[in-house]
Amino acid sequence: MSSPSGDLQPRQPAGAPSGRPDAYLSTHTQGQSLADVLERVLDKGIVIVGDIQVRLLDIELLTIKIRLLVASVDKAKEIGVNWWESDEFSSAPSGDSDGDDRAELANRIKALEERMADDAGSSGGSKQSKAKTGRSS
Amino acid sequence: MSSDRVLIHAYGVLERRTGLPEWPPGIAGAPIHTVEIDPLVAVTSVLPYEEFEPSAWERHADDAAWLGAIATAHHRVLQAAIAAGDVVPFRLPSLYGGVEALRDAVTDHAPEIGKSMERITDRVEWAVKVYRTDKSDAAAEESESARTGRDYLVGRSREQQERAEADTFAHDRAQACYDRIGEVSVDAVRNAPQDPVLSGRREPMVLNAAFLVDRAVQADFRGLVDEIAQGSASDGLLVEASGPWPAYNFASLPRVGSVADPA
Repeated sequence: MSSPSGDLQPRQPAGAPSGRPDAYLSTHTQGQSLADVLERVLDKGIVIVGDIQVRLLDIELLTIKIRLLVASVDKAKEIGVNWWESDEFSSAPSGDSDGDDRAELANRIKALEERMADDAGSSGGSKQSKAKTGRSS
Repeated sequence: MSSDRVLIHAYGVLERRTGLPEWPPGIAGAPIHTVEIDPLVAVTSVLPYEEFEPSAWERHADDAAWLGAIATAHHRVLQAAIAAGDVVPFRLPSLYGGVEALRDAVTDHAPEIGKSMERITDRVEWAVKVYRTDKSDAAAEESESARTGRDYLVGRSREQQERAEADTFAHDRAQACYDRIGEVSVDAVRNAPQDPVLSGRREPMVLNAAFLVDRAVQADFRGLVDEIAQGSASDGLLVEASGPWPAYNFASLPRVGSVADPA
């Protein structure tokens, strides 16, 4: 009855040859976060079991872990997730003198943050342990 | 031992060979091949067995970078497909030992796939999320600064009551959004709201919905969502739409038994 119509992407003619995949993505998938993608591709869509089966269990936990890993550092800090920072600091370059300064600064910031975290209770910490241990109870 | 053994991953199926897009790279950069399984066309990639056989997935079940990259590639292929036509998306991973195994599986399920195809033809999925922006940090501060214990208790109980009322209000408004947007949609589902860690927003999500929308009415759909968004801001709600998506939420086979579904 109908052919794929050009009004799907009003901002870009359907046949536009300029459209590289990446250009397409950047203009047309706004608001599609990785969490949205994971929620869908791991948990929705048709399942047709063939001769090879893979079971990916506990989708929610998976998506949280993946989300944590790829979230930008700033955004993750915004939402109070900064568990990787100790790793980041310990792996910071420390060979040259500049690096030493930075490492020292980093340690002082870290100490301050820990004190703040202690003072403010453990909201960030509980999130971290939850994500790591999963649903034990 | 079996170094040239391969797997076929199927991204989804199209109805016929019309409107094929220029495919982006698939999983692990593999090129996209289409396989005709009359009357359908499967969108596939050939993947190296050692890297993608079942135990590799189990090994990498904790490997966010590995799964994230695969999920993104899978989605990118389907996203390209819907720009050109309709596609019934397969769940990730959909692996087959070879083209014949894929052909058999698709042929066996042809009637159900056909039903899904019929349901999504000339339609796409749009997502609408609603967040609460009215969270009462101010109220918390107020009660902290209360002078006496009695003030504190009174303030706290009032705060709890207000919070309960606000929760009900937000919930009702979210349901109203869902119902109203549903009126211009062919179908709709509500999924569990995402945790702030997933959504990347501090504001609590109160609606995480997907709508199946006729391609021809997408402009109306977006206009309605914009209108609702504007009308809801003063109610402390933030309404966000994204799309068009492949119809992930509306392509499914009837649940038979408990195939790969630990729910």
